[in-house]
Amino acid sequence: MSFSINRVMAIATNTFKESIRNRVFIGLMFGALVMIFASLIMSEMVVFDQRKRVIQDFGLFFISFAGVLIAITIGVLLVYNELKRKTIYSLLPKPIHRYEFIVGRYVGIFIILFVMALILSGAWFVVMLLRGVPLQPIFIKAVILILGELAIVSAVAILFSSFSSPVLSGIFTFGIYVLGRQVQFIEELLHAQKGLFVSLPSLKPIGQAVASVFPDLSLFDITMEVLLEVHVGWGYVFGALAYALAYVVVFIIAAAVIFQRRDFV
Amino acid sequence: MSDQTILTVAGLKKTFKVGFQRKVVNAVQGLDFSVNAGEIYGFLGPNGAGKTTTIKMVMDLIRPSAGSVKVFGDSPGTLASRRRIGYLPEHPYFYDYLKPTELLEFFGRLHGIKKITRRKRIHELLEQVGLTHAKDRTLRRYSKGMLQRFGLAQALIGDPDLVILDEPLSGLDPIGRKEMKDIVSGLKAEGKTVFFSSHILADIELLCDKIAMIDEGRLLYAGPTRDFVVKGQLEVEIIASNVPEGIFTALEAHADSINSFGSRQKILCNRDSAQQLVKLLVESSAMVESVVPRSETLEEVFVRTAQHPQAEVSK
Repeated sequence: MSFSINRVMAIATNTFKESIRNRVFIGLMFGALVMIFASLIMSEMVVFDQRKRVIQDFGLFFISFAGVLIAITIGVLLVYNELKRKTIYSLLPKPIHRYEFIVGRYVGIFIILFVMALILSGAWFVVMLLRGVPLQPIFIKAVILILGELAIVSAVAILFSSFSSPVLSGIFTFGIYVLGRQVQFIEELLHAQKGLFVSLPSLKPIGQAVASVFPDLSLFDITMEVLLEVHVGWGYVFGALAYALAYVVVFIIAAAVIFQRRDFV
Repeated sequence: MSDQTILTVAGLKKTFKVGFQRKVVNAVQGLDFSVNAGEIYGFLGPNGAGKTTTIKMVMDLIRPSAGSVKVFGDSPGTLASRRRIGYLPEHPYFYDYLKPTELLEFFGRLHGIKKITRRKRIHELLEQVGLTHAKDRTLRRYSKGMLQRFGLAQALIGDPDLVILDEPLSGLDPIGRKEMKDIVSGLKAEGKTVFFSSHILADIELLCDKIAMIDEGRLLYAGPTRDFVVKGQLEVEIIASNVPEGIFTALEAHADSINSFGSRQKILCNRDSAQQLVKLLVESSAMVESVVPRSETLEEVFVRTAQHPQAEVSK
């Protein structure tokens, strides 16, 4: 019997039920909501023509920031908690493939991130309307791209959690997130006539490896385009999502292969 | 009872490397046994004998270092075999934020049971394990005994042919133990095969048609429970009254000891002499009140077998 979407969705639904009870999720959501509404007050402290930018910048930053923290904290704990609470022993002997467990967990965490993005972007739109900023398609594109980035970050978290402790998984995932945000910068450094890789050429192979292997997460950040009202086409959005999907597939396959070989002592 | 073999364990070994120095621990060292359809099969051994490791290999939670497990003629990891197995882990833990109905609903979905059938089955199972009254509580509020009973319900959600229970009686109070034993007997009556582990010998002796006994990962005995108990039969105790004085010499020739209690005589003899002694008593018109074979307890046999494993291995 092959892959079953019903079994994956059953696991995803259970993951969603588990995650919405997670205090970290509730705390981060609440904190991000407070900060998005606080941008109304913050915007009062700047000159009039900058108010719109403050609200837009704050909103996108906190949707992305809360999302990354939720993706990492919940992602690294989901598999670990199954082992720690020994619930895996009653789940895996059911008629499911081990890879369906990994995919189901991943889909579940993505649904959580989707709900988070929906609530926080809803709050952000309300704040903008209160400030008299008309809603534009680029706002939705920006949120969709944040979700693309979170899809990659949560897949990385699941990959590490399939074989590592939550603390190490969290550190590794956050490390990849930080480096992923710097991939474009590293590429520029690699081609520069001066700078880090010129003064320390022994680091160049590391820089090349990071630039070619790590996902370029800066592709998903269009805050500057939003602030400067630069047009971003749907073609760019779908291209970035396809790029995210490719990384997600690779990370989830790797997690499934590792998980498949594990002994649950 | 059918002779169809549904679980075969052959040459099963598991080695772990533990600690910083990767010290080798041989948890299971070449087990061979098989379980036929319709049996209640006991898996016996002291704590740390390798029972749970073996069961986890049967459930494909742990992969063997050597040897094989076949369930319904298939590898244990296949969905086809898992559909036919229900499993209760040792000290079961569940998603405690869910109600029993929600978790059974989830597991029912994994089994591919249709919604209407699922609802009906969940209702029946909670009734069977006596948890209908607590179906609206989250599992966090369940006692250990209730969790054990829920564990059995979740093992049965897919209406399995083979039910594997790892220490199902541990931690239960006497009433809980009796209820669990009744349910296990009921499963056999339904035609299901039950394989369960325990270190409590009395439970095994009472419930099981066959047993496999292991210690330190090695098989000490595999076969019918009755044969294992018969091995431990020591002597026969005969109680008789109105024994004529004249036959005492003949009795003493066959008996190990004769003790008087008022008008009664308690005669102890070995199994081979018992028939001759009873014949002598009956022919002398003595009243034979009871003939009771005195056995070692299963516990005594277990300890003796564990001390002299080579003499006892049987398949």
